[in-house]
Amino acid sequence: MTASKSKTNASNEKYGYFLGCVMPAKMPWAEKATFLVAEKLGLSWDYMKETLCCVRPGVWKAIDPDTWLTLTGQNLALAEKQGVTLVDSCNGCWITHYETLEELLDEPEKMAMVNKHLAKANMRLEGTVQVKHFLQVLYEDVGLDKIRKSIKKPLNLRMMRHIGCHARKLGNDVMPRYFDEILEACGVELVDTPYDSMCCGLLLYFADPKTSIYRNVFKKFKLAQDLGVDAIAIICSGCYDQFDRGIKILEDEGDPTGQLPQGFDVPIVHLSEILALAFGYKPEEFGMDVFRTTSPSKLISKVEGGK
Amino acid sequence: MEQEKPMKSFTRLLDSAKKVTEHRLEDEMVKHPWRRPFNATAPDAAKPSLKRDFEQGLVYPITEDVSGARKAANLDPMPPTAHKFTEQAEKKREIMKDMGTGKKLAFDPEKRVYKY
Repeated sequence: MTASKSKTNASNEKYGYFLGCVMPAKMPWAEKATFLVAEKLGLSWDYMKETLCCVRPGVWKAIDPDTWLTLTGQNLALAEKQGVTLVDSCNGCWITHYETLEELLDEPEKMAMVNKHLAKANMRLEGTVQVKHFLQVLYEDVGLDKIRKSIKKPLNLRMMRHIGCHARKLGNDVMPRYFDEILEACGVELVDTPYDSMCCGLLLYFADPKTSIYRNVFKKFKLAQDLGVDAIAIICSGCYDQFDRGIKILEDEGDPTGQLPQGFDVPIVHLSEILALAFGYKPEEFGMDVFRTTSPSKLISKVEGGK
Repeated sequence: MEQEKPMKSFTRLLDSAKKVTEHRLEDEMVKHPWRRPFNATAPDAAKPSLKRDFEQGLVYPITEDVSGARKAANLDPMPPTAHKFTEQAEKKREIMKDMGTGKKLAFDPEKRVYKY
């Protein structure tokens, strides 16, 4: 199967950025920063248009696998029609596109089933589309050398990182390593913690909200607070959605577990924002301080003041 | 760790699910005590977001606040997703109708509620 494994030269490839549900509604700063980063790196980059929910694997795959394959097939067929490599930065979107394409290419009868239903909407999936994670585009297509050359302002920040579970699909030596190396290239000092690979708890919330929030989210938050890091670096919109929920619950309901008596004020920042700052963009160019549950103002002062 | 009090946010989520469910299982069990209990295919916790997914093709709406934030980030106030291209969400509904997805989930697209 060809999805996500291409080494195509970035300059020849037309990328279609798949926004998903969370990015356009909750993370405009990350969306804009991603476009600035893509432009700086000279990528042929645009939105993948007309997109729907990816569809959520944790929900739809559990409810009805055929519906999951078919509705994901609708997005894949759209990418094919638009002639783009589908790029996800949300791990949930990426895993659903990657696994669906893999399954449909491996099992022709399932591809036929999907196309039978897509035909009702005058659509068809051939299976020629390529699916990539944004980290693969950055590391495999662009390369760390070019990223390093584009850096104007090493950031000198200390961060915890949370890459998210699905980004480990291809092994710890692939996307988790890409994530770390790109962050380090930006001048970020990564603080290793025992919770780096702990799930954000997004799906667990639907079954066991207390464990999902008090263990998976608040434990990470407490550690970030105790370590005094400048930010928690993320790549996945699904994980951001869960952390955002955790912050709102903390503000609205407090913390009965007593882990965060002072609240939580560590900003959760997207890799694209970190790259954009390191590339010399101003925070206001991508609305970094707007529409956030934890303000990045201290981080911005540090970057701008060079402290 | 305090485990007794329910989490308010989750209670609100379940309340939202109740509002979009025509025949709530707890009521049905009172009305029909001899009927074998069953679980609806759509879990209550997922019902509100699934309903939004059915109706707009995506889980989160683009509200005025969101549009304002997008402008502040130097983005188009309306993303080029199915929020803007609503015909794609219509196609999704046609596909789901063809697959019987609404029926499987007991979702009535006319009444915009789950039967169970």
